[in-house]
Amino acid sequence: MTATTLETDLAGLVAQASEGAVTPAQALAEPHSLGLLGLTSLGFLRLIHAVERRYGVALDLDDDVSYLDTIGSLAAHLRERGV
Amino acid sequence: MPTVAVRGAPGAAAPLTWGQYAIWAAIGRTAPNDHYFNLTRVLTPPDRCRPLDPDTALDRIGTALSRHPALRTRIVPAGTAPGRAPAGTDRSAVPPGSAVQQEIVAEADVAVRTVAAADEATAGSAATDLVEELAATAFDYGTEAPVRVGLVLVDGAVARVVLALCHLATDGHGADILLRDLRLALLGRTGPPPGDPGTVVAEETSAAGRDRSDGVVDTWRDAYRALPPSMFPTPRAEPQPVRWWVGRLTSPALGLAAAALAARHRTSVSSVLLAATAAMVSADGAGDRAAVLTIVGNRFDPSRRDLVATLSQEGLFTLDTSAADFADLLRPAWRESLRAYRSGYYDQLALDAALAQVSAERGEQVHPMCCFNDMRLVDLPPGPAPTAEQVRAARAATVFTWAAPQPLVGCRFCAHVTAAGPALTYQVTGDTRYLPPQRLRAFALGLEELVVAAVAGPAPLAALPARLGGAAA
Repeated sequence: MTATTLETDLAGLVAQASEGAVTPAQALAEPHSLGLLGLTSLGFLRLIHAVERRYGVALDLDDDVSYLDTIGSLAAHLRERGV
Repeated sequence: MPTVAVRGAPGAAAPLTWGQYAIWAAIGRTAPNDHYFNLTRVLTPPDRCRPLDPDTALDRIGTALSRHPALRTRIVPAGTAPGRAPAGTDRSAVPPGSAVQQEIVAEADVAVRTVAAADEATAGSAATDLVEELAATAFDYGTEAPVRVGLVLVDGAVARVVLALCHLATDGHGADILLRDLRLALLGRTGPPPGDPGTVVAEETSAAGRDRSDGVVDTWRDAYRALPPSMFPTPRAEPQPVRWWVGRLTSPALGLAAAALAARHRTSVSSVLLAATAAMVSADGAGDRAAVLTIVGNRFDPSRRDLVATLSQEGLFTLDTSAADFADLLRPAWRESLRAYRSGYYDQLALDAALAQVSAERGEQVHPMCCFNDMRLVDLPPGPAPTAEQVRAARAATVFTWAAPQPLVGCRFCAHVTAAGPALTYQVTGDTRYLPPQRLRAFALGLEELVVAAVAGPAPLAALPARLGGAAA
């Protein structure tokens, strides 16, 4: 998947997971943590659930979960898994 | 007494959902004090529909309640033929915790308790009294609708609507959805489609559902093999006459400090509070691996968002607390909290069997006896992270009070987090045999001190046992 398409799709999933509290543009622009935009623990779990369903991957929560911090890090993590 | 009719299509007998089974088992452990699990909600009718006469209100309340099949749930003995549930029998027909299934009946009449208040100013306290009265007795699961309704009238018009709900029909999120629908109905409007609780049973009994549950059960089994047998392992006093004490810490400083740490360490307020709870649990004497059961909402899928149903279950949060400084726990706690939330959806019967097997292998009962429930609807407040100066200034507003004790709770320690304006309320329920009142109070205040201190500088974990009133035994 091309860079912009994956990142844009993920930003849309963040917006859905936050029930509109975070816009796709805000999600794409956040350099540190989606949590700083107000994404809650429930929001992160919704995002994990949505990503797993959309891309058919199982996100590993056993080790470092820094890949969930931003759209960029999440996209990089998914690309390493062949998305 | 007036009634509200709750009507809809009946549903065939079905097993309890995983979430319902978890609550049913907890009710079985807690009976006859199982009113502990009742949920309460109070609604002030919007100004736009006032004055609201009682007949109109009851009609609209009936419309709102009828949208949600869960509110017509009856619990019947396992193996009961469809439509052959014993009618009009007493509570003994379905002893709490016994083998049961559920039916959705076509119609349930709910008696409405009405009280009068002198004016709007006193309606709030009248509603609090009324809803506590409605929730003070356990539901008759086999014969009673799982909702009780009350009205507070001022000058003959409805000033408050109160609900007491059976936890078998809904969890806290579902109760909030119901309240939203009730508010819309009073305005003559309709909420979004409520979803079908029948799909939950279908998903859980599918092959994919079984696989998912099996994976989660494996995770718990592995963890239980390595955990200390329980948290709060040391009996410290003769229990108080009413054994479980309930203390309430209301603290703007805790809310600000947790938000500051969540922003700084890229985690959530919930995760910061879980880390702090785990640190205090370790300090009590659990060693350096704390285990806390967290209540998980299980509403991650959009199709479940507006469902009035019992979906919440316990997840398992464990944390290695052997670090020197509290800040060092925060990133690991974030990862562990996400894992805990994902470990909270499973076939409770299968999990119970697996964990009993672990206890048998180890020759001792393994159970954390320690739980945490963040009941807030939003996590991090919007805006810039609070500063250390703001946190310090808020400290003067901290209040700790005791609430009514409970005669029986199936746990040694429970934390409930709610929002009180900008403040957080961290409510602690403790078994006074293991957490005598002063130690329980010290737990809550020590937790606040830990989180607040970490905003401005180091917060050494080695200082915690002394704050609890003595070294870990």
